[in-house]
Amino acid sequence: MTENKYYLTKEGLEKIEKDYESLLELRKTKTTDDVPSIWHSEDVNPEYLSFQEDMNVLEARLTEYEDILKNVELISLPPKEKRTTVCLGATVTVDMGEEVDTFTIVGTLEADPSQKKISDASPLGKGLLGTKEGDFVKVTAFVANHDCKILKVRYV
Amino acid sequence: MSILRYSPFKPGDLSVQERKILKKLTAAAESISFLYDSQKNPRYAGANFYPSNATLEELEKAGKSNPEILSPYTFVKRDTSGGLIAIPYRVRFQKELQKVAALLREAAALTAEKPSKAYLKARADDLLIDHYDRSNIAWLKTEKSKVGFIIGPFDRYIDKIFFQKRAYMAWLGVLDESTTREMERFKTTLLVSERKYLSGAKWVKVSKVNIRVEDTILFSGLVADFPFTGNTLPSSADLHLHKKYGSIFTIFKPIVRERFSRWIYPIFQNLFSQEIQQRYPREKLEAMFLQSSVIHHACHSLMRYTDATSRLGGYFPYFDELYTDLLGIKGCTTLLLKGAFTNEEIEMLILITICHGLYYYGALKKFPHLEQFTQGHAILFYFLLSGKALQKSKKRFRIDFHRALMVVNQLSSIVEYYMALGKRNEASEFLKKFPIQKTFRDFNKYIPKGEAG
Repeated sequence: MTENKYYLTKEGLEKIEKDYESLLELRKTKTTDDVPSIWHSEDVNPEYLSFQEDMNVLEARLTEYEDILKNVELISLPPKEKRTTVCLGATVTVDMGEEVDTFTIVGTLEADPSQKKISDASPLGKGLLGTKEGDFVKVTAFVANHDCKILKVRYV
Repeated sequence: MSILRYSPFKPGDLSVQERKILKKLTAAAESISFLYDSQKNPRYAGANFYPSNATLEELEKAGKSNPEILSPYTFVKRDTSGGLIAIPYRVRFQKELQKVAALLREAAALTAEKPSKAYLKARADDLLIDHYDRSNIAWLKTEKSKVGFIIGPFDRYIDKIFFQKRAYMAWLGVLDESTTREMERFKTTLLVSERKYLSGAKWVKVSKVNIRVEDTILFSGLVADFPFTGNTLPSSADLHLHKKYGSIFTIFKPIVRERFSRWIYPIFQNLFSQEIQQRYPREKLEAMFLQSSVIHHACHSLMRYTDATSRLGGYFPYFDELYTDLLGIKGCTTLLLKGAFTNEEIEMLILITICHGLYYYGALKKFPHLEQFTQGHAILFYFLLSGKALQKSKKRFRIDFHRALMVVNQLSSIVEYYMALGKRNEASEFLKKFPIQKTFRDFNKYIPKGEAG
């Protein structure tokens, strides 16, 4: 697994840790309960094959979570003098011409545009990082162009 | 009889009780088609709502001294001296409405689900008084109910004079929970921004927009005549309800499925080059067509200019339908910037919008009242062709997505003016510049022959 940094809020990290614990519990249950036998008469038991498939998926997910937990970086509040600048964790209100949008910039793992959380890797996230209240910035993605004015930056 | 039926369920899929309820509701829905057939008249812009020899000026003048003339729930007739009088629906259809109300009350008695029970009882009462606020509010609370049922006079598409008189309609379906959840998430993402309104315009913000994706069993009345992929209620005429209580749009799976297989995909294959066809597999296009239906209906709620209908009259839906499609594409470009939509999805949405436009043109012969939808697409096609976003290459077409988006941006500004501030006479002059037959005449060979639906 390549060494990536995973940026998470405190709440995001708590959720990942909780999900990881649940998966560990699930692995323990699956391996201590009745494991199907490999053979069914002279053929490989289809139940065992299904069990093996489930375990492979489970192990892959556990490995992913372990990688995340090993390489996590908590998104923290920037120092007071930097809080008018857009950094990870900032909640930004942007005038995009025909609409005004407010969203929080988070790491990719926590991104959920339906909950107003956009990824720092998205075109808008990338375009806004490092800008300040009052700045104008052009954000482009493929065929979409938006001139944006940063109206407000705050940290919750 | 304006009725369309589907059979999405096997006998074992529904409980005995559910089947009893559906039987009552089916009978009620079927009865409504007679009422609608009495209202419709494709030969005349005012359908059967107004005397065919009544002029616009005469109706407006009569409406000033008797507001019932322009009420959404009256027929306008001539009295013995040739003057205009209003006959309420509840009077004209008293016997029929009493039977329908009785069926709804019987269905209410069979259902244990409280919101549905309350709604059916309220709707039974409201059908007899030509006032639907109470049952509309009750219906909005059935958002999560398994059975989806609408009955009453709501949509105004067949009144092409004032876009005022409401036509009877009914649908019956069962909620597809998993698809609804998936589309709910997408709809929320799309509607999360605050749009700005044109300065000087009167507007209302819709408080809440919910979605249902249904396996439809039956359409009756207007919705059987107009094969919509979805429908938003309360009606856009009831903005006071939208503002306070929100709205629900229902997506009709059988229409979405049929429209795609019989029309959208064959048009796509006929219209675009092999290279484009290979880039966008059928399954992805079909998924995007469902999404485009969600986008369209969600965007109906995005911009609500309160006096648009009174300013534009019968021209309102021509602009409303086009504007909704344009807003949908623009909304999705914002999603692209947020990482919630991909380049490929934007491209497919544009391609599907184009194919859908040709569907409406193809369907116009069988459904002349689809003119309101086709006209909007004629305008879009005119701009796409003259802006060289859509260009003929050998026998098929190629598309420049950059130019297509520029066209969408430009056209949406123009159309928004009419929605926000435009008046009937200037709308009429604007629409004359984009005659449907002239715009689409070179596209006939790309449209499959056969029954539109």
